Amino acid sequence: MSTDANAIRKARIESGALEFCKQRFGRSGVKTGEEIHSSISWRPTFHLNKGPVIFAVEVEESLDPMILKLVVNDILHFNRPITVCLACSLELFQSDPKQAKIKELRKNGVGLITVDESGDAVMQFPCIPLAQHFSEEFLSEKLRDLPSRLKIAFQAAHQTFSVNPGQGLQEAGQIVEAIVAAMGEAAVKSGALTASKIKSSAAETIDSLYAVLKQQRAALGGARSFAKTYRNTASHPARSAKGAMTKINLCRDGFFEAVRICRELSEAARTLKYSLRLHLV
Amino acid sequence: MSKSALLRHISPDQIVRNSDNPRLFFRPEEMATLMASIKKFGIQVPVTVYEEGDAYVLIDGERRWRCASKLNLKAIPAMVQPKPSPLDNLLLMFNIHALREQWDYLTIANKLPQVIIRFADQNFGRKPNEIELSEITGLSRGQIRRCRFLLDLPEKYMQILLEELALPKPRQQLSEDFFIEMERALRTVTNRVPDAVLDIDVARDALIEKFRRNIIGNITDLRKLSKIATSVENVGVQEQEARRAIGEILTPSNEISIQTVFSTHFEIRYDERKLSLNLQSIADFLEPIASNGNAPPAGEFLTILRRVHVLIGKVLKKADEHGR
Repeated sequence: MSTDANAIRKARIESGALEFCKQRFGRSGVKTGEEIHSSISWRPTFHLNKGPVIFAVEVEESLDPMILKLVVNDILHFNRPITVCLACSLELFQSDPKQAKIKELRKNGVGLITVDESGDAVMQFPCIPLAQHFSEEFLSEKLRDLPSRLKIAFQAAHQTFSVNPGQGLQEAGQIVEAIVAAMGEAAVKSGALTASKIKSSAAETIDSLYAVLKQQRAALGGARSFAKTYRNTASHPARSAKGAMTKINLCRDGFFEAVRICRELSEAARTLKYSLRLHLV
Repeated sequence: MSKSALLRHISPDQIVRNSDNPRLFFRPEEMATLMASIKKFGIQVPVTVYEEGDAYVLIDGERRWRCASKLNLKAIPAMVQPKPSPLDNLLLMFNIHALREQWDYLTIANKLPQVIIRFADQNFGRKPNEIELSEITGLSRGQIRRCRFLLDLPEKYMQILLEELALPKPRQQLSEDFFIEMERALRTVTNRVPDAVLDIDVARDALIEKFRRNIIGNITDLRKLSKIATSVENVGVQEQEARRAIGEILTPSNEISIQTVFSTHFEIRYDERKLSLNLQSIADFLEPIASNGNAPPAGEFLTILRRVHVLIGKVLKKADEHGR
């Protein structure tokens, strides 16, 4: 008889989850039962490198492991992005019929891998580095007062962000570009600009608008600064591991910056009595 | 032993678990509170270890040590004791837990045979009796007896119990108490009404099935099964009647519960017996008053006596009318 009856079950989950992660993310830096860094008060069951991100997995037969609650602060303040995932049995996952605990995990940015009786693992929902994560509830608060068209667009971008922050930021950037283009069109319609001044690039359109809409320069300046800081971050792959890390660390801030700029541009348009026609895909 | 114990700060990586630790289950929900406390306040009570080569073997504090490792603590306080004898190694853990949070019965049950063997090794082959076992382990004799019920479980049922206990507490349906009460009841049944149980495993399966389906709603109902079995001897129920009742209870396919059978056919007999004993005691009290001219009853006692007198008269008249 086992000295710890849970140990057999846990070993099966660990083995299934580890194999799954190796196949999906590669075998770089796989460590079992070791610390990530001395400053982090958590030894995950195993962790590995997923590009510049550390992918750490805790195997536990509980949908709300205490250790994950205790370690959040350390992870948020660590200088490398860490993705946190819980691995448990499929049986436990199914025993939460109202999914209250599962929703909580998701809300807190923790991914979930389940392992069935035969050792096969499934990623029930993915996760991104904890420092980049923000919940739908948090986003809803940020989106308050935005026109519904923009709200829906940002919610869709957030869906992408929750799986791939870079891609999600890119979608948020496209919303900024769409509102800039709409401002340009509206300015032409109002006679403030000639059609020839509306360029294909958002940056040039911003410059044209900046020249004529003097009262709205703060909002337009923000849009230009966003394009400079985040547009390239989102659209081009990083050249180095350090660059990739910087890029990941910029994503969350960039997303919220996009929301802020859209709010300001939207308010500027309202002041100018512009009717914006957004061309969002 | 404790006189020479030393307090040191040791890395959790240098500590290894004690293979003699009887604890079988480290449930996440039980570890969570401890982990939160250690994260906030550190380890306030040192673990106890003994040195063996380059490592330290745990005597007490496996949960603290596990939490410390998970929390990536660099060092934890530990009392380092001299290496105990094999029997002392085991008994230390028993006694620590007898004074503190109690282990699961199965945890204890699994280690009791080893205690008995190691005791015999140190006592020229003589095995400890129940009193000695109680003294050396710090367990009560009742606890030891309950453990023995679990130890005697056939492998199949031991496995069912193990799987159940490995689940988090809220998801457990069958408990150690259920198995202990079931074994106790079935032992009484097979002793008192042997023909009622043809295959003990079929009987076990029936009781487990009915408990899982909530037909047996309470573990203590199993004690009523024992009472049905002893009713032949204790309250004069015919053996055939008891056998039929037990047969109905031990049939898994029906919906008949122990409570239903007991309250319909047996409860009144036990109530009658209890009342008979009370009446006998009243009669014993009244007899000297009636015969030797002691001071007659007075006050509230007399009021109740008069009321009972009237009621008894009515009940006896009713019994006469029915020709009893």
